[in-house]
Amino acid sequence: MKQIDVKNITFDYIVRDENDQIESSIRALEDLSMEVKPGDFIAVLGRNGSGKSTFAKMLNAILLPNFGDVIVLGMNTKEEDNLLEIRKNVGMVFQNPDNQIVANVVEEDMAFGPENLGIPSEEIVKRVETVSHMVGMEKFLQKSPNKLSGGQKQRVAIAGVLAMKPKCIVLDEPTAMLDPIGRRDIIETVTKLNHEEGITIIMITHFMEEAAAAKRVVVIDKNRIQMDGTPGEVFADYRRLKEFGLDVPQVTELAGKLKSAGIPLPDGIITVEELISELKSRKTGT
Amino acid sequence: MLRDITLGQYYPEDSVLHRLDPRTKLFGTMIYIVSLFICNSWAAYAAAVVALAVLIILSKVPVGFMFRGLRAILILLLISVFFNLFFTTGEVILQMGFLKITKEGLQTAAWMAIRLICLVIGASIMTLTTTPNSLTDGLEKSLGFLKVIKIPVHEIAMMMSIALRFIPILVEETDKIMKAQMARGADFENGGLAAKAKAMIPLLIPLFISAFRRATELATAMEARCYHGGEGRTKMRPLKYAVRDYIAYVCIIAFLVLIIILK
Repeated sequence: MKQIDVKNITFDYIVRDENDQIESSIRALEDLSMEVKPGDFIAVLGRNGSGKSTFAKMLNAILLPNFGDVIVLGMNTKEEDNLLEIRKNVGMVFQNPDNQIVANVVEEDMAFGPENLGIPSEEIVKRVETVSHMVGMEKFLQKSPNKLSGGQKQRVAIAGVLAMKPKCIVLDEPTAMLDPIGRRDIIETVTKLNHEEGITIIMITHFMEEAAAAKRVVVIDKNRIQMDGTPGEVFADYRRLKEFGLDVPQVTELAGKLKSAGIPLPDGIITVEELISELKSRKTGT
Repeated sequence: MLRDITLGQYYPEDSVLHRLDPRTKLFGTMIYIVSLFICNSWAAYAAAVVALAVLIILSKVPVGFMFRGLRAILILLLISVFFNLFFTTGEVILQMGFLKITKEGLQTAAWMAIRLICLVIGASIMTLTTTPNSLTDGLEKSLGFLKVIKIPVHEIAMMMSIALRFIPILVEETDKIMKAQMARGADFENGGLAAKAKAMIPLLIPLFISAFRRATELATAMEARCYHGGEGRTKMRPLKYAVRDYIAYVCIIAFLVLIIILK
């Protein structure tokens, strides 16, 4: 079963002059296809300008493809009537936490989505209670978002999306503006949501370390999908990743070089600890 | 500088006034302001002052805090007292050169002062005891009838609450840009008015660009969260009248009747 089916989409950003004539157009996506299964955790990697953010905006009808179709739970994003239902099921978290929090109180922001959907008040109160626990923000419900740290604000944003009970959450570089602690927080929260709630996660990022938490890694470059596989499979080919302008962790590169020098190591090592334990096990093994 | 603005300042406290429905408070404030302009006798003014004193005590907000709001209108107050005192014709009781104080002047000046002070304090009691959010909610709900004549009440309320949310963010941003420009040698302090105004350009342009960018992003985020205007929207905590609100309405009407009798 497919939750989201992206079929041969092409998208151009079109710049128009004052007379509404096309001045220039920039291709962002070209003939791109992809399927998302329920419960998946996909990391979408790509450098700036690779088209990865455009791709994310296709998934809940913020942008519509010029050619091709995006089908979410059997609904085409091009049909206006499906809009609310699609956006309710595919939630979206953006990069800047400040620019996506609407209300002045944490609790009210979490309620914003369900309020828009016309959910009865008592049900909203219950949902806010539940989602605040899911993201660990239950102690901050009455606080002003301005008093929170970046990671906390981003967790509020995630809770706001969760309150709509989506089947899938798309996160567009959710950690780009956070400090290391906030970044770890978000990855942990997202991983937990995927494992415990079974919510499909599609996370756009350019941090290799974050992609390692995913079940599937997709690399987008030059408007197309270039690599698609498990983190192990994708990271093994570190030379290609570098070609696509991605920062391969030094340890991954080192492990790859050791492997080609004849040391039997598994593919896709991305942390120093992993490499150390692998090397140690070799040592004790021989 | 923006920190000094007391408009809509909220004083967190747990009092009867804090718990009242914002619509009740809006109605009460309106009636109070109207009644101040009906007042035309010492008895009526006394009633208004007593009512205000009762409200201050009920609100549990420190009196000093409340009177701070008066500083903003001090000059206006002095000017109006001055003109009323010296330029009202009538029975002269004191003559100093060309300035003369009349009995009528004394009375009008005093009334004017009481009226202005009551006006400002009365309005600030409302803002001090109501969070900006519930105030917006209250306005949206009580002005809902304007929708009939195509006034987008919900949209205006939404804009107000978003503006309130972004004021501190933009203040912080202004500060950041100011420091960044100062590090590049910008001078915001010296020079005459024209030079100072000109110095604001490198501050305002980046601020505006950033504000527009934020607005676009926020609009996208709101759309992604299914926002589609006020139609079919529910509220997590809808405004509901309690018994205290009905009591308050009775008191407000009684006060208005009293003022009309005493005037």
